[in-house]
Amino acid sequence: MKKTHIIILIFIAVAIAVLISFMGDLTTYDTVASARQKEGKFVHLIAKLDKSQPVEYDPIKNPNYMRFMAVDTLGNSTPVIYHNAMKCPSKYKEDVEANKNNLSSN
Amino acid sequence: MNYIGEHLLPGQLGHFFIVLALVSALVATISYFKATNSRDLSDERSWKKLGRIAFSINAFSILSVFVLLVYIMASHKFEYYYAWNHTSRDMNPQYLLAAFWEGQEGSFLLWSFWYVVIGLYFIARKTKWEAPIMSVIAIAQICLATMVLGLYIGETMIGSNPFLLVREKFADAPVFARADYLSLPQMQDGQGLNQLLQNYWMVIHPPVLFLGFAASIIPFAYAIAGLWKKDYGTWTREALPYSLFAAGILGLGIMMGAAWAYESLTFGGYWAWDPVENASLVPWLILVAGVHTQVIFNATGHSLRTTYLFFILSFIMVVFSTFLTRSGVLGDSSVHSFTDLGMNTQLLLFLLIFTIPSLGLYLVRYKQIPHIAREEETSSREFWMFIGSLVLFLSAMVITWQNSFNPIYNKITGQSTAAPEDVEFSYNKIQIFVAIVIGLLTAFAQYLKYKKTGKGWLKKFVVPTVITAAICVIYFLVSGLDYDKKGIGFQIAIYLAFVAGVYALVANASYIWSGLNGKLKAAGGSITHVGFALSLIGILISASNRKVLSFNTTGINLKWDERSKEKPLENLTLIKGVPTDMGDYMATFVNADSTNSNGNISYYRIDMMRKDSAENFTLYPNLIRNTKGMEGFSNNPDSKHYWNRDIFSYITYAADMDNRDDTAQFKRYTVNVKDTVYYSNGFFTLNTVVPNPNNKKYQFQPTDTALMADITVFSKEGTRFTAQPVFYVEGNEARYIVDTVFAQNIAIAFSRVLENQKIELQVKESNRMVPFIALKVYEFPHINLLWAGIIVMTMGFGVSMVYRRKQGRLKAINKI
Repeated sequence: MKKTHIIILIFIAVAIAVLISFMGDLTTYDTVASARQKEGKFVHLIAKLDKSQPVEYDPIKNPNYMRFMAVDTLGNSTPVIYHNAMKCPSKYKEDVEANKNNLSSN
Repeated sequence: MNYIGEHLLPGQLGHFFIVLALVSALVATISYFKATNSRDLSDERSWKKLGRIAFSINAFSILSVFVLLVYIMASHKFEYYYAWNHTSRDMNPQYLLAAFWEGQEGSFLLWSFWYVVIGLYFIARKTKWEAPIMSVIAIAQICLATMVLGLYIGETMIGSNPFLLVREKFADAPVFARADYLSLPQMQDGQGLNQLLQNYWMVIHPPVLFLGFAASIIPFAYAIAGLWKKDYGTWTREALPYSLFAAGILGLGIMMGAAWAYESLTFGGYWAWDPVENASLVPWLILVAGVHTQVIFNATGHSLRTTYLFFILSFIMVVFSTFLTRSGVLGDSSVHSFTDLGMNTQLLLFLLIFTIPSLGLYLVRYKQIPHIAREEETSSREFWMFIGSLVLFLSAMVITWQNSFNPIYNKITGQSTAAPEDVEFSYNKIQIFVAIVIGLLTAFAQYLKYKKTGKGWLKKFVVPTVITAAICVIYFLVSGLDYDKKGIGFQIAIYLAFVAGVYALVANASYIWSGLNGKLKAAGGSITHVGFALSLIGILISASNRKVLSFNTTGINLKWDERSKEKPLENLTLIKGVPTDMGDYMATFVNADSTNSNGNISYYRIDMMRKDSAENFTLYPNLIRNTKGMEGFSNNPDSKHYWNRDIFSYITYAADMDNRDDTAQFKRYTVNVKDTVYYSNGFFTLNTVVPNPNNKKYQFQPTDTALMADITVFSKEGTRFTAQPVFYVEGNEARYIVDTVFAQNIAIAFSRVLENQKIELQVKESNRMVPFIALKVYEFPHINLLWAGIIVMTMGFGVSMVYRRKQGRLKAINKI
């Protein structure tokens, strides 16, 4: 066996090991209800800001504390506490529906 | 209905040229295909001629489409959806091109435009590989033309036509019941360009990146040509300048995107391992691996099979990245995937059209590709270059897997796997080792000779090693790398990568003299490596030693959830006009100003003054109201650049972002000394009443009639504040001065003096007391090393390209 082949095999083995460890780090997307079942675990939650509830953010008192309600597609909601200021969530995704609304409402 | 005022001609012309572009690309493909396969020379010549004519028509059509669309956008023809959706009247004309490639259609056209340029170049060069290369480019032109075709076949839409009218896009909107809809106010202006793309990098980054993507078809096409004509080994010299060009431009384009992200996004850096970034990095890594194996083959005859594989895969990964980022499969995992235009099947076909035939051809011809059975010597340069290429390639494969496993797996199985908790670290912890290995290989491989290296080479390596050791020791003593969040193991890896980076830098710089006698023209490789090493060092220092300057110093005691992994306290509130302690600086929010006509951009002036010297500077981070019907604001950072660091700031909140009115009223209280009054977040006590106060705040004379209430405010959090409202008489009129405790949002007024030593206090609670902002400030040390490294790297690619081209020509002449 050539040493190049041995090295290739070693590298591939390392790559596979690395990927297996990566797979172990994966998390899941959850709903509010299923996330509640997994207390203490890190989950990804896709939810919308509940606009019927106030957003608590008072930078004068504490610029690192924000609390709001998020509601998921099933209608369950959960309070969210964010110890930071908000980042802009949607980058350059455009909302065709919003555009259409602009067309009709002006 | 006859609509009034529409300009339909440019759109009809535009769509005609799109169809013409498609048809001519088809003809060009067939002709060049025939030319490649024909055995008869005159046959070949006539097919080639037809192919050239067809491709020229394609070129003319694409250029016409380009010009027509720019015309529609520049002349505000808002009846066209593309102009209506991507531009507005107040948009700065310099961003017209940014708006052009904001949409998918525009970026496909841009890509197609570069194929026009590349194709015309190869027709003009008259290489013997013209026919097969142009076949490949023409097929790509077919695919791209279908992306902007906008025709329905049955129910299926093929491509998205950029010349669509608004009334066609929203056919059921009620406004189009009117023939004069264009006179309505909502049709007088467009939706505008996304505020984040209103940045000069967005004018230049996409063309450069797409040129890189487009240029990666050249080595691919040469490889296909070699397999197709069974002329396996003769194209590599001729193609080397082009693969260098593709790698150089693609790398530059990617890093311009990083510069844009750094300047206009607020994730606090230039690279976030976002799927869109990864998708463009992967082809580059494979391309660079391919350039190295190509150089090996030209010098020694080894590694031809790998060269084929790398060049084929790098282009496939370009198309795959297009599929990944535009089909919407990334969906939730990327913050900036493009809109799903409903062209997934079409994009998948694009991918398969290039993947299956090219890999199939490669496998069929694999055995025939010449290779040298004898193994490379361990002391040879090509052996270690090959190892390096292999590492780059595997790194690309690992990134691809991490990047695309979740969306594709979820799509197929319906599962809901998501990215790891710390996405960036899941990449960093692997790629840091790639950086170490690549850095070290880059450092010493050039000192080895092709075929076999004699004993003396280590001697040449002594000086660079000593210099590297000196630099590293000094740097580690003076500064060090502070990133210990991920444990000691990762920190050691960062240190090792730093050493490897410095080693690569020093060794390659000194090789220009010790190995090449200072001949810069021949030193393209070393220069490129120096640039790469500089970038690596810049990345390691700026990312590891990034400092948050805006630590909250207000002393408010915050309780954190113990499980929270967020780093708290990174935002600092600045009240207008009040200098606030920020690390080495005193920061003052001076004012907010709108500069453009419709007031949708506000600049916030922050004066920064160093505490230990008189040095001061001003930052202008801004907020831009979101366009396109989105709510809220986008925050655009501003940086102060020093040669050795950047001070990077952005607004995380501004008091006037939301227009809540201040409806709070003053409430009256009658109090005696030592009385206590409660408010929502605590209470306060009237300590004494001081006649004619003369202190820092007030300077009353004994002849005045003034009373100051001395009040201590106790908040729930346990903090204390002093409030000193004043009541005074001036010109027989009673006046008072309100004192505000900003941190508690209360204003206290001393409004009247009552009988029995009682006084009346008025208290207002409101969170709209005074303009303020919450600010985040970072310091990025030595980030300029990264940018300088990229510039040097790109120049190195250029030098190599010129040199290799000359070399290729000389070889060709020598053969004759």
